[in-house]
Amino acid sequence: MTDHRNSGVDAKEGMQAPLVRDLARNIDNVRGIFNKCTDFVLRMIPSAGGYEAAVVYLDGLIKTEELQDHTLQPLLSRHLNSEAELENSQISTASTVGEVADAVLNGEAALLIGNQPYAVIINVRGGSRRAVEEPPTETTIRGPREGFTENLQTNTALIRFRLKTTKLKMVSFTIGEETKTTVILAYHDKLADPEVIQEVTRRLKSIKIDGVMESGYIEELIEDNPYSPYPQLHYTERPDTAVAHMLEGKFCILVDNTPVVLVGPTTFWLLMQASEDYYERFYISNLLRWLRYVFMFIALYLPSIYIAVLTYHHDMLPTNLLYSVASAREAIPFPALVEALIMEVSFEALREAGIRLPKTIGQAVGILGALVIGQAAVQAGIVSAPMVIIVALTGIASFTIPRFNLAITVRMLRFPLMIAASVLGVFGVMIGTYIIASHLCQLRSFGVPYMSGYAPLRRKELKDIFVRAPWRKMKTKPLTYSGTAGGRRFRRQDET
Amino acid sequence: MRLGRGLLIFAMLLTIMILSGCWDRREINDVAFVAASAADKEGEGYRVGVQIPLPGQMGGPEGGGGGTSGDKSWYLDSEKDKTLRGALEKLQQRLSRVLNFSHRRVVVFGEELSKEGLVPVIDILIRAPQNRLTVFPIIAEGKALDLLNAKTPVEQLPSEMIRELASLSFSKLLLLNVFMKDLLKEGEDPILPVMKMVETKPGAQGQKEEAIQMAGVGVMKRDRLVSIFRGEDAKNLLWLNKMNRLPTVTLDYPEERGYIILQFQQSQVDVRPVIQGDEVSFQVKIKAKGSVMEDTLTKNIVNGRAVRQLEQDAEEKVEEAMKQVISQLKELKADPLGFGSRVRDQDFSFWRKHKNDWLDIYGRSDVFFEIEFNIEHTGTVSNSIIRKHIEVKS
Repeated sequence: MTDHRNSGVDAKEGMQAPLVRDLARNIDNVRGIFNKCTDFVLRMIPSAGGYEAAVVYLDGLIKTEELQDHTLQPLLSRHLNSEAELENSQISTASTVGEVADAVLNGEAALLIGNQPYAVIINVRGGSRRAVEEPPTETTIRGPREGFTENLQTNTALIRFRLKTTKLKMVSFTIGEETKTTVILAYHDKLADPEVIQEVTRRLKSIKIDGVMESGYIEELIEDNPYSPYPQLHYTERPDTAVAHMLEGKFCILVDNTPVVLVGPTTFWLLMQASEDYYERFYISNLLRWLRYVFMFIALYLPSIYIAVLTYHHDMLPTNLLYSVASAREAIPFPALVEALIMEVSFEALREAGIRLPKTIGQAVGILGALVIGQAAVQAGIVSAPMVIIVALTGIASFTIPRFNLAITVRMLRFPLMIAASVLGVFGVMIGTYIIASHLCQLRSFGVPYMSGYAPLRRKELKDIFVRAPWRKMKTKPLTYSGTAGGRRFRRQDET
Repeated sequence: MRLGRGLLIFAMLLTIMILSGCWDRREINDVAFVAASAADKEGEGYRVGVQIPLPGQMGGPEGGGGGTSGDKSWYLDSEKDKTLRGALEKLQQRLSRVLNFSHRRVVVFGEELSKEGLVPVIDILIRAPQNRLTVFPIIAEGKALDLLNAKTPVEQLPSEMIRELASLSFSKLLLLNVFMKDLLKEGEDPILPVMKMVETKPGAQGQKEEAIQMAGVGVMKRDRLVSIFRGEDAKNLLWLNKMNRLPTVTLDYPEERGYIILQFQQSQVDVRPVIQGDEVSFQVKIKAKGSVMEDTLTKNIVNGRAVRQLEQDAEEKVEEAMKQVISQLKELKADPLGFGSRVRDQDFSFWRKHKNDWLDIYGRSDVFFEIEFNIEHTGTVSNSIIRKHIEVKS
């Protein structure tokens, strides 16, 4: 933690005012800044012979018991000669009113001492935050149950628990003119590409925004291509995943007040992997990884191929399948594209409605959707049964993509492909594919090609892209992220 | 700048989409898929029939249901014209949906048409890309159109029935491409399946119905049908052609009032031409392994001697039957077994010299048979159950 208190910039006169050897004036200054703040607490400490003192803090941000036991009690019971007599472990000093204000806003308590031109800042940060829980967005069958919380200190500790090396560096930034959010850039000093770290630092420093509520703000502001539909930063709520990424040479960006940690540089393949891939035995991991790739293609292409085949390429269907599709579509009043759009859009709406609603009502939406859209529409002859199957399959397929941000991208790109299919058939789908593929190939995340490993081809890295090789075979770290031929992943016992 | 360029590209793409339009768009329900077509000779021209399945009647889910009357799941219509294409165009004039031939699986030719030659009819099948070469060419005994009009309770469409029958009856699929290959091959004539209509023997309350049945094998001379081989002849012809499924031999023992039926699971046929001067003879080797399928005889075939006797009886019987087939083929001057192509493969200079009088040489060539049967399974119980029955009684 660097001295972020100095970085607070404020034009106000009062903030610049230095602390003087007059307690009353100091108190007035501080109180003036915290004017109309009901959570501001000022407590005068009377003492008979020695100094007079005052403690200021914001209610709810500190551990009140700790302040009471280790600061107020000793102060009240005897005369204070120097700050060394305080029983608190973390103390520092501040010499201007602005510094005092920053510390107080940051959840610390400030002890203003009469006759001294400085204040003692006591770190008794606390306040109620959420405990460490399993992240609901990234549940695994096998693997640690700990997830990041909104508390930055907890998060850095969760990383430190797993990466006990001094090479783990954590650089702190303060972003947000008003929110003064602490952002920590964490990386492995030996494994990460220094150029990437330099670039991230530059981009983080150049951010000018009034507030950061979530790491999504940071993500959008430091992305290489903010207009791309593909996410160029990976995110995770799992400390084990974050550490694993850092061991591959990636950096993590921890943002205060959010459990979502950004990971970069990101490749397309990274977004198709789940942390469990590495925890389970490699056979099942491989199968699941292939399954995900197959279903990613289904999620992207199935509706458009169906439309293309139905409108242009009847010859491509097996005869018997053609008859049954034709018999199902006989009474449908819409062309295939309109039918598909109706279903896909209502599926998206259903999903959106389900997310926003409380869990208990969400079930009702599911039933409603299944009954109304699934069954009634088919019985009424508005939508054909094969289309319901296609939409359902596409929906399930999009849920197999482990990263929600990539799943959204795939679901989004499905629609232009469907329109292209309805206009130009499979030819249109191919045009769409070329556009998507060329975009993916030119996309970069912090200078690292998005399809890295496959394009540009690095044969050694394919073992963690299309397959998940057994750990014994993963001898080298991926070059993609570390830039240099980094360390080794696995080492046999007889090797040194 | 960057956004402007993106907009420009988007506008260009949009222009392609809008200006080109959905020019080829044809929904599945704007198309009449022809499942089978039939061609008959009528006067100077042809009568062409098309069978179109009605998806609304094919038992889809609830909600389906086009407005056609009757319980048939297909529609059959025919038209007459000087050319096949002309007839199809006339048919299209009374169809609200575009005829599409890419899913046609069966073409049926009438007997009369087949006797005149199929090449003028097949021409249209090869030209248009919509027509697939994986269609089954079938010859109908009588009118081709009748075959498509049959009731087929087992399959949804008569075309399916015909297709399944045709693929079931031979060990390889006799598709149009096979037919064309045989037709174009020097020294080999194609064969085609022949089907006919028969009346079924109904059950207790059933009515007599017309059904489709395999009639036999149509022996062609080039593209003309010259004869239809039926029953045993057809089976043996296919056996020699290696196109039969599991050949069977029925041995008749009149003095013992019973039959033994053998079935051969493995068989090898090897034809070797022997060229001597200007004459050719053929050595046909048939090797087969089989088992006893049915035994209504009181004969005991438990020991090796009896089995050998059985094999010998079968060999003699088959040789006799094969000779019969060959002599018929020679008489017809048709060569579905590809004897000519074998001579051509073996001695091309001979073939070049005798290409024109080949059919005469073929007609007087000798064919020698060397048949070797091996019967491995005489039954699960060592004796016929009938024999046991007799033993118990006596």
